[in-house]
Amino acid sequence: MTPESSASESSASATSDAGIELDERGRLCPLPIIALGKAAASASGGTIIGVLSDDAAARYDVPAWCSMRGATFLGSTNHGDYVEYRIRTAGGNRAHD
Amino acid sequence: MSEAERSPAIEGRIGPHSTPLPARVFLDSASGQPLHPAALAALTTAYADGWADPRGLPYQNRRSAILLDAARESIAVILGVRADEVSFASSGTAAVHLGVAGFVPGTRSTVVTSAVEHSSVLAASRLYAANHPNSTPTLVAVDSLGRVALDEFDLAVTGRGVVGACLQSANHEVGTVQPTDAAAELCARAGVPLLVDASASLGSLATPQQWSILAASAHKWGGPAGVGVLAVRRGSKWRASTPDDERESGRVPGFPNVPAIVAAAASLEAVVAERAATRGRLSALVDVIRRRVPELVPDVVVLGDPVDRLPHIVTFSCLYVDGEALLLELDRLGVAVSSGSACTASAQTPSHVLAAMGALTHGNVRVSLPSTCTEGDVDRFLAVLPGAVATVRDHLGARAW
Repeated sequence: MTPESSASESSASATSDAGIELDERGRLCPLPIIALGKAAASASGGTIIGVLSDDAAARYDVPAWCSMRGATFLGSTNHGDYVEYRIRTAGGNRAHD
Repeated sequence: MSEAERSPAIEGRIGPHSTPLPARVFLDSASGQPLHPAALAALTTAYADGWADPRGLPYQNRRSAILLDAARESIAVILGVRADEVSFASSGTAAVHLGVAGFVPGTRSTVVTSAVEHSSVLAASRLYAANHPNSTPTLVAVDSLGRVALDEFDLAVTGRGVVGACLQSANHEVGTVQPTDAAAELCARAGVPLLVDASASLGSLATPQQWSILAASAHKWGGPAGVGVLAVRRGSKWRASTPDDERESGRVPGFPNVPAIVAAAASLEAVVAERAATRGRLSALVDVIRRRVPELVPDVVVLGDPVDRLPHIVTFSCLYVDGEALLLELDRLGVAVSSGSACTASAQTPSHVLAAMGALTHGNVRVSLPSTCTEGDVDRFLAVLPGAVATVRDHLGARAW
């Protein structure tokens, strides 16, 4: 199983349903995950967060962060020179966006 | 532990004007054990007596040949093979390279490996594929503990055109032991030679019994650097890939480093004799680290199999931590460890082992205890770790919310 091949639970495009979008392009590990952690901490449960990253470690660390934080990894979209990862924070059944 | 057992290189002070620090603690033995005292003694003697070419006929050459033969016999006994099945290479990496290159190609030539092999195995199988037509390396997945999936391994080795398979005895980063005997049975059924990379475990765990080819590295068991072991059982589907050379049964070219080989054999004999005691002592210390780290540091995951593992290796990842910064902070505090994180200067991508396990790859620390490690060394590490992690997180602004 690779994050790229994970099934997306959302039918809408990531950009339109992301409640919060973090542009972490150009920042190396663990900065994108720290930004994700900060955003998730102030967001309400069930918020969908999109992370744009070109860091090689994000592919592994976004799903790993989700399992440590009880969040749901919704999938990723490869845009060539960066990847968009989408997660839903723990605590809500539906996105609050 | 006597003073003599401690390497002088890890003692002492840092900087000309700094206050005296406690002895530095070396917890990176997986990259190389300090030289075992038995190796040092053998090395000194063998340099005086074993410098000559072991292939020559005169007296000095015969002395060298006798030392080399005795070392080969000693390692063959530990591996459970005949002496002429054992060859010495210039490193574990060289042994792996030669071992993989010797798989006999067919019209298709696939090499199967686990996804968490040492980089030397993965690189050798990629080169093998590039050098042979209709060949792609096949990677077999591992579970979250880093253990190879045997059903997938079975599927892979029974595929078309498989000329060889590689499986490590234990993982060098997370310590998880691999089921090499079960894999060897699957390979035997498929008629595929199995290369076991025993580098991480030889000397610390029981020697793998079933394999066609075995590779190992002396500096991992307290021997000198520059000695690898390549053992090939008779009748294996394997042939040397190097130009004809009469040395080392034609499997490894060139004049072997006899004194270093003698020292490697002396060290392995000593380490195997001490194995049960060392294993119990180090494994208990690793259990302490595995238990205490999550109590002392928030947001940390300890990786690898907690039970069926190498006695001396434990790896964990700290959320919101830069692995290189943590390694340098621990070094500043006198404790040497290593890291599989991409943020370390030596790597652009995170450890393929952590990635294959689906583990957090940043903030990674690998602690590997040398055989001389004491409870005091581990206490010192555990005493400085929480502050080091907090320092790195503060620097990254990762504790301010």
